[in-house]
Amino acid sequence: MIVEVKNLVKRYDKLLALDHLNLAVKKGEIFGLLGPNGSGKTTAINCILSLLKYDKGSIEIFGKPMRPDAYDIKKNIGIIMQNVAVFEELTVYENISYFCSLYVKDKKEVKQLTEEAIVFVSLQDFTKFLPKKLSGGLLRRLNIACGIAHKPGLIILDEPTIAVDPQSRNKILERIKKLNENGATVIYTSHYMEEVEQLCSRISIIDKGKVIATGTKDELKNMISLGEKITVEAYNLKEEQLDEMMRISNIAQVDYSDNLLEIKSKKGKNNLIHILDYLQSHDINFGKIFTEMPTLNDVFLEITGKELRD
Amino acid sequence: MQVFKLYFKLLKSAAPALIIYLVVFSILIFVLSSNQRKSATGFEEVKIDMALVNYDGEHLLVQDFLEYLKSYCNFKDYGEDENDLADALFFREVEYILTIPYDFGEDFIAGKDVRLEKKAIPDGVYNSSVDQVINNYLNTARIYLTAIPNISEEDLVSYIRKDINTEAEVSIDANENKGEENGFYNQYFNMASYIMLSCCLLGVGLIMLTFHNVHILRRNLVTPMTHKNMNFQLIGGNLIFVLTYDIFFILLGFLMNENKSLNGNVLLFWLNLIIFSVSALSISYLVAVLVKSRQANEAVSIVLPLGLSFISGAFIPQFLLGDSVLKLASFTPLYWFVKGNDTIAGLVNFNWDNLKYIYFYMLIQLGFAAAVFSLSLVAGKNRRRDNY
Repeated sequence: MIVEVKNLVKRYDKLLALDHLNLAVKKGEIFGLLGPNGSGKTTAINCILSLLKYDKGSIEIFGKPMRPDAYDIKKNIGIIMQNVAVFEELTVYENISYFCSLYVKDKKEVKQLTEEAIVFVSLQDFTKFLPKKLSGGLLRRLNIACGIAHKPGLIILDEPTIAVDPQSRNKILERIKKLNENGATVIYTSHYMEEVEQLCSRISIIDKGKVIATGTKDELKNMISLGEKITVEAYNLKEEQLDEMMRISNIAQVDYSDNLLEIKSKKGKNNLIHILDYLQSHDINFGKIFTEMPTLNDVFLEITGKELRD
Repeated sequence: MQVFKLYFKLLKSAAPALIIYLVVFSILIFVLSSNQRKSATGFEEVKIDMALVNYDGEHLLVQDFLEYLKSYCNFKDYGEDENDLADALFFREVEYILTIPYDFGEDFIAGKDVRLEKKAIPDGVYNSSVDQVINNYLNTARIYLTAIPNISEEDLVSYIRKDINTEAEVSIDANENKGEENGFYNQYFNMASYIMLSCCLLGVGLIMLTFHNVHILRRNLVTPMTHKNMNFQLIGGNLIFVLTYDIFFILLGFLMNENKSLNGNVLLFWLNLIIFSVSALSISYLVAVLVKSRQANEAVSIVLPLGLSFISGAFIPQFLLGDSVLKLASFTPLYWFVKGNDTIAGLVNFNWDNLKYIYFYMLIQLGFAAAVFSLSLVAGKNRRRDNY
């Protein structure tokens, strides 16, 4: 394991921020930590990095206990926090070079790594720019470059795409994937389920400081009873017909409004065919049909009873 | 030495303000230095214009008294008309009107209570000196009349003249002379303390605020560089910063001062400045920990040095300040710095009895710096804890 967190407990006075949190990150994976705001993701990251003292539990990184003075471990970690942490007075190049030089002593190597990081985040045209002259997306890329320039084995990204436009977000996600392909293990925290779903090979869903489920996205989706969500454009449906549809096998919920019939099915085969059969057999006119597989939000909803974005 | 190098890169952003402070200070010092060349180095006797109305012109004592007064006054004749005399005084043609009443000489010798009449410009600069000259003559006469009851007028006049013409030999105290010699440095370094404190608050404050930024701090804390090493490099940067200012002030003072000699006083002035700069550094540290934005730091760097300089006597000599103000100022290092400079300026004998006060003032400044540094560390720790 690259990172192993066991029974981590962190309290802020009476608030229990982390409640016996357990995490295990394997080498070479992109591990997602998904949870709503205030669920304890950043607290967990701060504890893992020894930025915060915790009350109970143990943290091991690269098989060694993590402590504030574990400089040999820190040497191989790259960190990208949700807030951009760069010097406003330094140019793009100077910022990356400075943070890289805190890890690497050889000047030539620092220069080379800085240049590689600049190319990696596509900031070649902005090397002499001060951070205040950069757009939000470029600033995030600079933030990433400062965290990864020294080519660490473990990269921790704590909500790096907050307040970033979709185009820049996609570029950032692409680069994180590339970092992983180049051999880095990645821990990625976010409350955006789409990002985590798109990026991460394994995911832990966290709520109220506790891991409520861990697995690949398919494993997580298999944990719940919900099947696909079917939306049909249908006209003049009557109450009795909706009640009848509820009696079709594997149907969990039926809603109808504005000529849109929304059906949530349980896991099972041929759910869509059964619905269409019913509509045809009752001469109900219908138009467009959409089906949607369960999302991580549905997983979270079923386990906690609340939306991920609450 | 990455942090050390970064320190000076960051300082560049505060450079315009720091340079403005130094330029303004240099101009002020140039003006001060020009005044130094014009400064008085002795006294010149002046005679004041006086209107005399003498109703007792014949008496020997009065004649001699007027002869004596001629050494100090230019007599002008405006007659006896009161209006003419009042006009002369009003239009500042004379500064003093002296009226000698009838039989003044005889009555004075007889021991009667007689008085000379005087009118003078209100708050006139020379009034008191004329009063003193008149009193000097008449009091001497009164002493002889009391001591020798039947003294003749001739003897009385000759005795008075002999006494008042006696000149005492005065040798100017070397201490006074030193004070004058070191006056430039005294004023120069007192004023330099204001610039030193302002620039420290501005420059050091900016750097510390940047490094205390919670996001930068977190990023730095997860690097393999030890916190101790980072702080050590920052302290090194700060010390170089204040030392540069010390050297600048020392060189500028040396160049501006007419007297280029290097004596014990000058060396003590330099030492006092270097010690004060450590105190200024400690205040800057504390302010940087307590304030949360660059704008707030800039505001403090304007207000605090001005306030401290005014109450501590950096601009106005301490002896002109009220006791309550000085008592308040004594809780600041600037007060002890200025007090140290004032004492150094008057120092002649470099024995322990004299030097111990100066060293004591320096120790207070160092103690203050240590206390403020400790306070900054505690405040910094609390702030870090609050941030997480």
